[in-house]
Amino acid sequence: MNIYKLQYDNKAQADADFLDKGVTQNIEVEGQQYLSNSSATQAVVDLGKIVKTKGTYSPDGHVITPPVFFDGVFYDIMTTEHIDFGTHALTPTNCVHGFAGYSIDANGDNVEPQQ
Amino acid sequence: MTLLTDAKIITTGNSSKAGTLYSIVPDSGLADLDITRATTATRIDSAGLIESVAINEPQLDYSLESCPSLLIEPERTNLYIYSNDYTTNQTGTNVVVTANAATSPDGTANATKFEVSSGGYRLTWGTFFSVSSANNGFYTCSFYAKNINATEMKVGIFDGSTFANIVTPFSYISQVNTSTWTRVSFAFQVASGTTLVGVEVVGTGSLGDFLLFGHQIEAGEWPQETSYIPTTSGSVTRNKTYFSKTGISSLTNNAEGVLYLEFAFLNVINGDQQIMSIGENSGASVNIGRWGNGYLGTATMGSTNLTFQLNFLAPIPDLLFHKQAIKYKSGDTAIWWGGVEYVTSTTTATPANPLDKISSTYNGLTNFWGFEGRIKSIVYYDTILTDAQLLALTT
Repeated sequence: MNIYKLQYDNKAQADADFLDKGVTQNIEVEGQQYLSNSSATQAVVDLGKIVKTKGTYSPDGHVITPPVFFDGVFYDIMTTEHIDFGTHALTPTNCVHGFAGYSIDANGDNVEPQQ
Repeated sequence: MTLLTDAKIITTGNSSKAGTLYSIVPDSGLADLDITRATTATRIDSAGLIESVAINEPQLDYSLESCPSLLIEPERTNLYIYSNDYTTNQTGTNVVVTANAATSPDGTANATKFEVSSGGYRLTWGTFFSVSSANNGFYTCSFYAKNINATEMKVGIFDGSTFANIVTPFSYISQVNTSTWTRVSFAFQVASGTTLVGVEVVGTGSLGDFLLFGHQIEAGEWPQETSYIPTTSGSVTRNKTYFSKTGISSLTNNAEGVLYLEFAFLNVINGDQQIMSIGENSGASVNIGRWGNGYLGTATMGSTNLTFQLNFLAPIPDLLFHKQAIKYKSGDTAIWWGGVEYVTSTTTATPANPLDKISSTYNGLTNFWGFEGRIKSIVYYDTILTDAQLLALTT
């Protein structure tokens, strides 16, 4: 199984890249066009924005310093195909998201589930 | 000849291994279903306990009845990190927290005890859970609770940036008891621009002793809890489940037959299509499931829909098990539901393709309009049944 951790400027850029790289596909059903995951795509997880630095807060619930977010939006993709996402692919550690049965940092081609 | 001996395919949620749900009929294995879910998951086992199942292993679930059903769930992510750790990233006052204090719904001693005195509260703090307005901002929060001697138990949701209440702490004590675990669930919606939420695990106003286990916050186009997804330091995704089997044309007849399904939906919210089928193209296919806020039954031969019934609104969809069958034959097609013949069609057509595949998606299309729900049984006949037989089958 292949797992890719990805960063994009925004959702529109991500959606376009997913369609271009075959993560998603347009199909026609009953005369209507639909966007669907391709047969190789096992999951597309929209992680949204990720906190870079936690906020700090007073005990009574006031913000002392607000959280700081990484630039852009993030996705985790699971697929049976090798896909080159170019500069959108990241190799982080201590990740904020994982797939059930896999290491939270599982990333790249041919990753094995945890025993 | 009986409904049992005439059936060419009988599949129930009883016997499985990773990647396979065995069919009772035929015993050759020709119609054993291939199960795809590239992650682990959990189910409620026959003892009523939460149990992990392996990658591609069917979730044969006993949560509704003593008879198991095949649970087919959508992809969901538990955003609530440290889902059963009530000491990490939490703060509060006037609450004594004791981890591993009692046997939990998974059968081990990992439930957490809360002893709340006057003015007590406890909430997730410092690390909040990332949310967005995708899926219209709908989320579901769920957790297991068991009372000890509490006189009030409350839970709430707050904005992780402004600390404004999204769900003002509300009482759920009437839902729980002292003898069994109850899964408490509620939906909430975040406004556009909301990026973080926190949970008031012990809501202000709670008082007394109680146990909690397994928090979950999941986004979804329909707000309802799904099976528990344990987390530690990060959010965790359980993938969607599909089933399929190709090469079954020797068991099927594209000119006539009956497809029967005993199933329950996972939600009753007006939503997308969730369908299972025999066949894989418009040349010949038979489908049962849900279309928006109603039930669906279709049968197609060639390019002609013998019946294509959407939204038969009476009966109104609910979460209970129901029995539905489609009888298909050129000039003699009908949909039966709960012992009632709801739709008939005398349209004539000639099938163009064999029925070579059974799958949990519409017309066998991979990853499209996948069925979501609980299936007790799938039965297929290669000839049409009489009205009396269909009445008996669907009652």
